Amino acid sequence: MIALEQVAKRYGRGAPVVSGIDLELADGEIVVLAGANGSGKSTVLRMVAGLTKPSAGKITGIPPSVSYLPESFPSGLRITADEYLKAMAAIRGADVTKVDDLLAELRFTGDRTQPMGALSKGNAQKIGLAQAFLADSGPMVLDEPWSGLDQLASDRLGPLLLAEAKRDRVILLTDHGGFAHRIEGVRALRLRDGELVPDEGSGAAMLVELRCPPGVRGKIKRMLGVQSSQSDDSILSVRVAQEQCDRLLLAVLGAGCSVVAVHPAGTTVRRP
Amino acid sequence: MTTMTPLLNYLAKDIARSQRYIPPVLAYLLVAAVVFGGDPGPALPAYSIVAVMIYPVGAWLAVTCANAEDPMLRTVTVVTAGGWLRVGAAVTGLACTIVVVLTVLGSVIPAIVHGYSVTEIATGASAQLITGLAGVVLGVLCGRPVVRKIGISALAVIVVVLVTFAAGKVPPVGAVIGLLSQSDHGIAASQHPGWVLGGDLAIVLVLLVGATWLAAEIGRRRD
Repeated sequence: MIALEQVAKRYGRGAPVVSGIDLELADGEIVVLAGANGSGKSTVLRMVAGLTKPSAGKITGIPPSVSYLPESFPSGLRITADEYLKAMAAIRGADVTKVDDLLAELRFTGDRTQPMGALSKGNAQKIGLAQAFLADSGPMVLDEPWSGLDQLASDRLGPLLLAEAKRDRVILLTDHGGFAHRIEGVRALRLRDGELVPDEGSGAAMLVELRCPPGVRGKIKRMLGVQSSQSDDSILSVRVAQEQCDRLLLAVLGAGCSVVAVHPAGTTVRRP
Repeated sequence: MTTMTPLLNYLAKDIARSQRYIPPVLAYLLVAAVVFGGDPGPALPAYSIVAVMIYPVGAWLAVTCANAEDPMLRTVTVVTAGGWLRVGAAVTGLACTIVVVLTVLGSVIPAIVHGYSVTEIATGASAQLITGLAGVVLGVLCGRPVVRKIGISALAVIVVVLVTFAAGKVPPVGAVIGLLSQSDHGIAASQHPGWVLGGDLAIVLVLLVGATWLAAEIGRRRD
């Protein structure tokens, strides 16, 4: 398990980018960080990857082998994709053929024997992802892994990450597109004003009224984005983050509930 | 933890691909050719001139080695290799390797052409090694991740090189140049050349380790 305790980072003499970060990343867990541009998401990822030392606080439990994908994997490089992947595999002591299936699954269409500069942004991103999948163990720290991916690859990446998490790897990522939320069991956090809070989306919430068979309520309470719920006779009122409303409806209908009403709940009071 | 060899391989290829090592290497070879072509006069003062030259060349090479990789790719390499220090040590090692090759070329070829004695070759080679590696120390501290802008790197290297030569016989660079430049008829035993060269080499090696560590630490704090 990786633990961040009261971690802060400031660059030079500037104001801290993040401060008072407490975060525990359990093995096998997928954690997605949300937050506005410049909110410090990349900084948190760089600290967990061991690239940057916190200015205050401490990070424990980072194993020697970490996989990292930086935000915007560079294009315009002279090295060929094949050479690059081989070199990264050799430095890790990993088997480079491991990523052949991954690249096929992500529908990599570029020429691996040409300089990476000749690749499209999406294909360069797939090479970046491939190097992050070289290791067999250790945390994966991925900064905007869906960036630049086409629809097909985007859909495939979630299950691929889930498969890695199921092998007890910690996966910490950022995601602007909402792709990570589709992965089952993902924990969503948000950086706001340099501090970490549970992610409740934009703050807008929906009130969903349901009629449910017995035993389903407990399951609904634990679903992503559910902020509160209360029973009134046979009607269960669930307050859910707007971003998660469709997902909740889909799930509860599948669980045998009947939807009585759905309406906006106005601006929610955010939990600390 | 894997061995350093694949990391050195990867970085060496990246440096070779960038071709930016060519100007400093050519600058050194050009100066060596001018000094030793024709009649260079006594061996040690001639060697002292190339020893002066290899100091900024070593710095230039180290900056080149430190800056060759794309900065964003460097972050991946650092994480993959297991930290800034491992990558920094590889960069220092590669820059030192080029300096050693230049030192060998710049010591042995003139010796063959002009028939220098073994003592003269050893003294000339030691002097170039010391000043060349001192240049690497300077370059490690003036390249990435310490100094990110190449213009500032160049300016810092030039300023430090000028200060070094203005400072006179200060170890390691000034002392070595001073020892060789006035020695038309060999170095007198009273000047203890073995101790001076050995001591300065030891100082440079300590500085190399220190500079590599410091650069890695700055990388971890800043980047």
